[in-house]
Amino acid sequence: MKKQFSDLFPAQSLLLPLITPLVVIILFVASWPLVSRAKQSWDELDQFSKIVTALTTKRDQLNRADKTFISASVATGLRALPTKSAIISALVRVEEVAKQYNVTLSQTQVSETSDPSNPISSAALKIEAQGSLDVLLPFLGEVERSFPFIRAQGGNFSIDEDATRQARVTLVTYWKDLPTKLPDITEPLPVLSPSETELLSKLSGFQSRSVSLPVTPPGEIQPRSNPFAF
Amino acid sequence: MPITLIPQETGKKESQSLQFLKKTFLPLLLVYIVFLVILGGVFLFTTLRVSTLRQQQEGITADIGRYKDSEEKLVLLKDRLSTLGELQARGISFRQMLGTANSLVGSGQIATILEVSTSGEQTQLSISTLDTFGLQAFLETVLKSENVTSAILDNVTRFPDGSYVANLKMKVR
Repeated sequence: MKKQFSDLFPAQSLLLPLITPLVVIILFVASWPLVSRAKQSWDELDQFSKIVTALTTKRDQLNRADKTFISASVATGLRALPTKSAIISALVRVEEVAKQYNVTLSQTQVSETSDPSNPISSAALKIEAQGSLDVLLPFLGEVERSFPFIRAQGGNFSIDEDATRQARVTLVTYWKDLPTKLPDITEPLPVLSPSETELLSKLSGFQSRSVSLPVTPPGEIQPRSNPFAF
Repeated sequence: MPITLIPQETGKKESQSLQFLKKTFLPLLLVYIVFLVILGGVFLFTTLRVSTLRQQQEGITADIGRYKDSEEKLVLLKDRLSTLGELQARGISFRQMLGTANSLVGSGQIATILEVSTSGEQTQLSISTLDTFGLQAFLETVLKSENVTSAILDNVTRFPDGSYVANLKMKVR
């Protein structure tokens, strides 16, 4: 006699419509970690794609960058904002400009201010200058177009009763340490804003002190001869 | 001829169960298998692609390392220029104030500067004019000037010869 399905599993045959969706749900739930892993893998791919795109852009930009221009611009930037106090250079430059514009400097006073919490250090150079506005204005303009970066912070201009024109001006010069770390390699290259580009081109026209100290290249220093050797 | 002792209704149920299995469970199982295959495909594709990208990343990182000098210089340049920009933006310089004051007196044509001094953002300007017309012209110039953001006339002194001395507190940009 031929056995029927219901003969073998009579109860199950009745439960089949209920068990089947349950089994399917269990299978899908059981495979959820796989779905999660695949999604994680997809996210990782997306992240890597972005990193590789960013790195490729950065490499291409560095490859195309004008190295001569960058070096010259960095030199200009460092002359304008050195890493060490350039108050003496500023003082020499101010005196040089004063001579150039026939401005008499009756008094100069240097005072360095240091605030450890401020990464930008500054030094003040207080000057007393005699001359008319026609002379003082171009003089101060030229001073502000000098290396290191000098700014006329404040001051006083007056005409005395004996018609003497006198200006007391506080000139400030700045310096700052070099940056200590590079940004993350995936970070894009720093881009100069339009105002920074304009400032750079302005700085390129600045003048530095003409007095230069003799520089001896390292390795050429000869030991002093012993004057007592007979 | 065999005698069927199973009731007619049970036979119907059995055929319905088998039909249910064929029509519902098997297609669902097939869908599940297809789903698993797709999942496996995605997993395989992403793993291989990530591996390729990882290799690419290492190569590009090494390339960038060769340009480290240029990158350092660019970071330094940005640092210097942003700091200098910040310093320049710190209010108006005394030279600019003096220049503005000089333009307000028409370089000595309208009035004569007696004193210009700055304290913080405020500029104190003291001028003298030969007559009322000079004073009027000076005050009109101050009011029209785009560089002067605020001006307070502190005091005006008239002298017997008809000349005036005026003191102003101004904020200039």
